This record gives sequence, C-alpha cells and structure tokens, in this order.
Amino acid sequence: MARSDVQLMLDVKAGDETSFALLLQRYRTPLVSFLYRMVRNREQAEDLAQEVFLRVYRARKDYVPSAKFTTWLFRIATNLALNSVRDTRYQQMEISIDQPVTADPEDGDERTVDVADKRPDIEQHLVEEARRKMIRHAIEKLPEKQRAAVLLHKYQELDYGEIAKILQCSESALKSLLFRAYEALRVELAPLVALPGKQHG
Amino acid sequence: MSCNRMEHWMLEYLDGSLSENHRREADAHLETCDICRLRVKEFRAVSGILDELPPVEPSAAFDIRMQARIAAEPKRSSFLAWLSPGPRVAFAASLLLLLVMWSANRPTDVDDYIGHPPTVEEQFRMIKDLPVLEDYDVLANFEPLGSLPPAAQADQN
Repeated sequence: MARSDVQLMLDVKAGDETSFALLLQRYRTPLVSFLYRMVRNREQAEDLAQEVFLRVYRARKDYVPSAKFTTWLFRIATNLALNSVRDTRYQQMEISIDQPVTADPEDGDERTVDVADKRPDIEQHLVEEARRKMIRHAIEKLPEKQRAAVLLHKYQELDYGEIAKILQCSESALKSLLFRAYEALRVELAPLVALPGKQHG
Repeated sequence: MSCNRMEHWMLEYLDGSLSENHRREADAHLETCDICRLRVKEFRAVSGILDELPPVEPSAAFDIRMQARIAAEPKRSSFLAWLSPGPRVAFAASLLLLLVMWSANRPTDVDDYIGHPPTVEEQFRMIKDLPVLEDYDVLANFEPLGSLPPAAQADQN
C-alpha cells in the first residue's frame, strides 16, 4: 500500500531521500498546475514550485505532522503565488502604462494538436482549445484570492477546512469567497454554459 | 429557509458534502425557489466546464533542475557525524589544547614568587645570571667588529 504523505515526510525527516522523491513525484504536477493558473507564466510557475519543494525539504528536520501535508504544501505555494502576483502587477503598472499587453504568451501552451491528426480531429481540437482558452481567461480574471480558492477546491479537491487554513480565513468566509467566484465564472462562461462541451453533460 | 443560506450551502450542495439534514432543507428550498434552482443548475454546469481544463505538466527541465537544487542542499548528517565536529568547534578545541600545553610547559619560576617575594639579593643574582647579559659581554668584546671602518667615513663617500 502506498505510504501516506505524512509517513513519507516523516521518513524524509529520518533521512530517507527516496521518500522525498516520491513526494516530489506525487505533487509536481498538482503544484505546477496550481501555480501556473495563479501566476500565468510557466517559467515562473516552475520556479515557484521548486521553491515550495525546497522549503519543504529544508524544513524536514523540524517537521511535525500537526496538519495535513497538502495544507502545508499549498499554503506555502499560495503565499508564494500571491506575493508573486502582487509583485508582477506592481511591475506591470510601472512599465506598461501606455503599453497594453495584447499578446498572450501563454495561449497555446497547453495545445496538444498533433499534425498527423485527421481533419475532423483538428476541428475538434480547435473547438476544445477555444473553450479551454475561455476557461483559462475566466479563471484568470478572478481576484487572486477567489482564484486560489477555486483552484484549491476544484482542481486539488481539498476540503473546506484545509482551504480556509491555506487562505487564512474562516470556513464561512471561504464559502462566500467560493460563491462569489462561481458567480463571476457563471457570467464569464455563460456562452459555454449554454453550449455544453463534449466532456460534460 | 432563505436564499442567503442556500447561497452559503451552494458549493457543498454541489459537492455532495452537505450533511443529510442540511441537504434535505436545501432540497425543500429548491422545490419552491426558481432563482436558487437555476443557480444550482448553472453552478453545476460551471463546475463541469472547469473540469475541461487539463493539468499542466512540468517541463523536462523541471525535474533536472529540481534534482540539482535538492542535491545542492546541505545533507542531513549521519549517525557518525558527531565524531567529526564542525570547523568552529574543531578550531575552539585546538585553541584550548594549545592553551593547556602552553601553560603546562611555561617556566614555573613566576609561580614561585607567590608566597615569598624574592629579596633584593636574590633579584640581583637573577639579573647577573641572565644569559642575555652574558651575550652582551661577548658581543661588546667581539674582535671582528673592531675591524669595521668607522661609520663617519661611509657617510662622506
């Protein structure tokens, strides 16, 4: 049976390096996905994810399993992401007042079109890609705390108690945060709500 | 039940994480409230749409860089590590050892003064017997030094 996160972390604390590699393997994609959706830049997301793992690794000697491992992991990630988003916004305000960003360098980053695909498949891919782009942009437009709440709830499937701890708010505040986020998404994604995609019914 | 309360429960209702009692209350409210019913439907659709976004895989460089950064971290010491102390501890221990050796080997005559200070006669004998004074006598009468040209002549050239 697979060892729990806490058990792996306790093994890392005891000096077992391979357990850290297992934790890394388990959380590299969730962490990079979360950070990418938060900061909207792959390179920056990967840098931040590495920073999260390094902080976990450095803290191994003092690790006490007082909370869920994911709460700890995503709390570090969320703090780094929020700081990064605020720093970036400040920099953008400084350098590009008369230079609006028109190109979106991240668009197409997740494109999976294979050139060998048949024409109907390409068409399907384009439709899916357009939908994904719309979804990405809808998530992007959320204020960062709402965005973090949605990402942790929807994609990391953390429970309300964990997310509240990560975002340092009450569970009640989290629920209204999520409600407002879904309200905003409902408006942004209205065209897709009316036109269901292939994957959801 | 009010629509406000329904809003508060909305996400848990969709998750299926609402307690049995609360779910029944919510269901009863939805029977009578068109606005909340529509909202539940639309939120459920939004949740389904969000599922379409795939996870973002880290690049190949991510793992290589991560491994390098972890490898560069100071490693945890093994159970024998306490036998090889850190540089600062080793330096302090060496200094202490030198101090002990120096104080063990230094002349003990200083310690003799404690208790009975030397008399004038003893002090005179000590000074008379000092080797440097003997050396002074040797140097003062050293013949080869007398054959050197006087310093004043060197200055005139």
